[in-house]
Amino acid sequence: MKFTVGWLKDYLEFDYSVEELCNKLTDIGLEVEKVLDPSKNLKDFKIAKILKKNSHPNADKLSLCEVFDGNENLQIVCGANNARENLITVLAPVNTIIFQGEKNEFKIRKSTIRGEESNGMLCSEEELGLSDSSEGIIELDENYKIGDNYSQYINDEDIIIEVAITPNRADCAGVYGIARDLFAADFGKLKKKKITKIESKFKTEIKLVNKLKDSDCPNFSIRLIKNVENKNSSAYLIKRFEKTGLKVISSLVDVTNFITIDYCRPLHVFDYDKIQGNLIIRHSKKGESFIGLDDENYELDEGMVVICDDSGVISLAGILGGKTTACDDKTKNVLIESAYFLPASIIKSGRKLNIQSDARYRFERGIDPDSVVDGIEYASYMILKSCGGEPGSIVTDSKKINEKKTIKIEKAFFERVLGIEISDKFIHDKLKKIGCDFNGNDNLAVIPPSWRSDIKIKEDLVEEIARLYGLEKIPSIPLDSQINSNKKKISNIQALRNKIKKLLVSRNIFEIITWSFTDEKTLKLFEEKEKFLKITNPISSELSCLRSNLLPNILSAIKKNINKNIVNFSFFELGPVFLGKEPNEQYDNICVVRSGKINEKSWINKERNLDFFDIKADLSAVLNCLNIDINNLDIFRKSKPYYHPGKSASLLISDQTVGFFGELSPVILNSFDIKNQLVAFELNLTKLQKFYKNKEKSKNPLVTSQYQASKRDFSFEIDKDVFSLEIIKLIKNTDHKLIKDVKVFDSYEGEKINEKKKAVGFEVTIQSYEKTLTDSEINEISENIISKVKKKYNAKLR
Amino acid sequence: MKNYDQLIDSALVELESCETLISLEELRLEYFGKNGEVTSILKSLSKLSEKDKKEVGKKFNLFKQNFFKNLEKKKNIIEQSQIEEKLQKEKIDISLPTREEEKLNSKIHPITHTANEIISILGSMGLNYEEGPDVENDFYNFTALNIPENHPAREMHDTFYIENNLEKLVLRTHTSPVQIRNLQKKKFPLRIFAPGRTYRCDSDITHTPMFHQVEGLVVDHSVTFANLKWFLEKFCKTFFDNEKLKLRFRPSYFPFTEPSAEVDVNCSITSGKIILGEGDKWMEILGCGMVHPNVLKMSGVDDDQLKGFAFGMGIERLSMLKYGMPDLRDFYDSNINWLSHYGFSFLETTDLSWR
Repeated sequence: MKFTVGWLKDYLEFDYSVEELCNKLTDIGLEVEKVLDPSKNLKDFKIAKILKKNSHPNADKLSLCEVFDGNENLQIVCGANNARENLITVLAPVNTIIFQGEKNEFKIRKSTIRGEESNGMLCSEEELGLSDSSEGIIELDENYKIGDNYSQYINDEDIIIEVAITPNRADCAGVYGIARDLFAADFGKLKKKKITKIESKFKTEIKLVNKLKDSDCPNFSIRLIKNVENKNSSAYLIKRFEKTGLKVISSLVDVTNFITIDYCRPLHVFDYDKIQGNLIIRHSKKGESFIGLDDENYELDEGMVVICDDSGVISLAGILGGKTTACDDKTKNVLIESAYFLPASIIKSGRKLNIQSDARYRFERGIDPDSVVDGIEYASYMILKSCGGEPGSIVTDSKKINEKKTIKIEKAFFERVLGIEISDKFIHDKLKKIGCDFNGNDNLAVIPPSWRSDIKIKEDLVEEIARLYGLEKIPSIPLDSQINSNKKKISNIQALRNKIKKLLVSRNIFEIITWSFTDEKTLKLFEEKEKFLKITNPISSELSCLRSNLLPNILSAIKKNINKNIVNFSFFELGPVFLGKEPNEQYDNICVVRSGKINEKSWINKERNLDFFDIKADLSAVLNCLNIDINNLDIFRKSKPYYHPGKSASLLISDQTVGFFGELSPVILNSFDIKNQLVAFELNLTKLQKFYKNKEKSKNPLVTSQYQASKRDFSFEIDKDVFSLEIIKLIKNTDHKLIKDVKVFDSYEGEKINEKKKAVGFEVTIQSYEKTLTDSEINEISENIISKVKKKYNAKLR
Repeated sequence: MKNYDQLIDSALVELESCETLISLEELRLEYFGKNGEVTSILKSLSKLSEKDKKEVGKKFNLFKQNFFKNLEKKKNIIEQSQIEEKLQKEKIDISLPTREEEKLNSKIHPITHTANEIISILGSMGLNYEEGPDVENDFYNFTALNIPENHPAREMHDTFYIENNLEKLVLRTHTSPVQIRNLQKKKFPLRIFAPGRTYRCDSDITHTPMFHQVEGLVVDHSVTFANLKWFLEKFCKTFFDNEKLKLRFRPSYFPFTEPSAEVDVNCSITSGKIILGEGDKWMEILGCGMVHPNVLKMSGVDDDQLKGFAFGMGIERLSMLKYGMPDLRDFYDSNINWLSHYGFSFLETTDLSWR
């Protein structure tokens, strides 16, 4: 909502500065978004006159002006089309600073433009900060004295304030309402609006049927004014329109737009002679259409509030007038419409048709329902003044006005909510000033004014008192520090998420956060099912459904960095995936992807390609966070199709698949245009954390053996398909007590042995807690190991 | 009896002049080896008289002690100088980079870091850490928060809808649905906060379709706006680590609170750089208010008995104000350079634990 200080002063007398005004507006909840106060920056600008205009010898679009600044004649190069002899305009002399926005300022210098000297600049309104338009230089009339400082001609009508109106404050969507609210906050004196009653000269002859008076349109009034002349609006009105960004159309239409902003009272004018037959207010039927003032053709749904004549819909109530009955310069007889439509109906049709208008903005917030007749009278008064004509009677088809609702509030309630006692005097004064009727003392019965439909319950009254009292004056009082009886610690998953993130970063993996949405087509490359959650109104087709897998977004992120020639890096994301619409179908997943080499080319380390075992190490580290040993889980070779079939695995715990890991298949990487070899793991943390057990605080006693440990190496030739882990388990099982550790020290496949076989070397550590083992005892264990492995895996000792 | 003094003296002088371990050993053998001079003298001792035997024996015992004491000393000196010499030769370019140099540059995302800070502060201020789903139904996201169908406030939320037949599903437009899920448990006093992902159908310089919020809710028998002011002042001063920070409470409107306010912090802006806690400009950081009675009623809570306050803030915004990232969209761009620069080492990031 934009207005000028001059406009505000129509209704409010005050002596405060613009800055004080803006602070007050913000303090009472009318947040000032922008102030345009040109007087600050205009002290150097002068009124000047163009004496002669010659064309620039070296540029077609420029001209050479001889300008008199009240003191001397100056040559100035000007590019404006409207520069002409005898024009009085504004000059920025050499050394003037031009302000355009906070960061943008420049100094006028004596310069040479295309070979011609220029001693200053002739200014447009934009350069003076008067408006956003830079079409031509300013044109002034004879009232401006040449040589005068321009700033002395700046007045309140040039100072523009823009406030943000919250959806509840329809009453402040008009200049008068803002004045009223400032007055309530003791900022100046309100000049009460007096609506002049216009006496009718004849009976308005039109049949009006309001079919919706018991529903969406409780009040509807019209008045005919005959023999008007739809001229241009007055200069002062046009200036205000320009300042506040309203479009000047014609006197009749301008009056309605003016009253919309001035009094928050949207109105409409019909060209009476274009209306066919009777006026009916009703709900639209499906399939009806209507051409708006904006020349758009709108297809209407069932149930929108419309105003019709015998030909059909001629206006979309409270939102947009129709083209067929619009006023133009030939309009002789004008029909003024003033009505109250229920906000819900306006929101519904406005949203459906996606029409933004000043009328809709106000109706859907809820204007004053009692302002219908006032609106007609106000418009009549202005039209008669600017266009002449004879007023007819006011025709109304409204329902009887409802009784006003009373709000009961105990005085103590203010303190109960705000935490501070506020005096009766203050409360009574403010209630009165915002327009409430009330009685009582400790128990107040309050009837809010018709223009404050947002005040419905006692908490609304508390808010009124609080904002007028000033929120900054409410003290800060500590919350009583009683122990939160329901207090609990953070949950396992909340703690784990953070722990895992820190762990992965400590392993040189960057954390990234990507959208919860992804591209449906890409997602289908990863998921066999098509059970995605699709977004009805995605921001773009690439973000059309909720992700059920973290990989697509991470791979896109990797590709983006590879494009910047960054190759060796790792990313992880720990975030939600969506397997269905229910809350318990949202899981926290972890996905790590490593790209490039494990070591960069360096003087001390050898480069090495990433492989399966790098990612397996990351995975084991994460599992360690959950106190889970990867070797105690079931690992299966079968994983997802987007992994390398021979170099990937799936991870099971208690028969539930909780993750996959390995090398990504080149096929999937091709679709991202990634040439590198990538390794990745995915883990469902939500499922996995159920198996997480907090360790006992007290630890088991440390048990070590004081006797010497012996190491024995074994190399077995076994089938390629046998997991070395199985052999390890078997070896350990031969003597749990004495075999402390089994390590794989070698794994060989190749020419030296049968192609279906591999040779795996194990180092077995044997140690007793009770004594130093003798050679024969150790040999016995060794024999046992050899025979068991041979027997179970058909192995050959090498 | 021979005079052995010359032998003894020259042995000790020779010992002194040895420069290598080898010559030391040779000298030892020369005198004390199997056939060494001293060894043979001592062997022939039996031929002497008792008196001489005693005298010579004593002399050589003393000599032996001296010799070996000096030998040990000399040996140490030689070894020492040999090590010294070896060390002098082993020079490296100490300016070469370490193995780890390129390695330890990975970072925690600033959203995680900022959220952790917020979580730790709110946790230690006595609020419980709660969460809720990202896919919400219309009731939790709007209706229960006093935003009925056709309420103008719905225009403030550009909502993403999920294709679904049975009920209206949305991506939550704020973390406030978590308030409702906890109010419905009806365990009071209720003190919670809820961080998480939120979504709005909007994308430009200052909006991303996904962002993060933290919600706070305190409901008890006597909670007032004055308590809310205290709480948020304490929170903001702790978060921005600035006791001088000023807060401005500005009346505003949210459907789920009444009275409602927006909170600004003071700052100065010089050539685009924002410094909080000084200057007379204001920067909006969060929204808050007293819980609207309709919100309590709709969750089946007696609004006569219980009062509450609630607040909500954007994590990215707080992060940008504290750490100075210029552009919101960069948070989701996964650019390594940005992540390295604005991210946090895992050592810097708070642990989530409080008493």
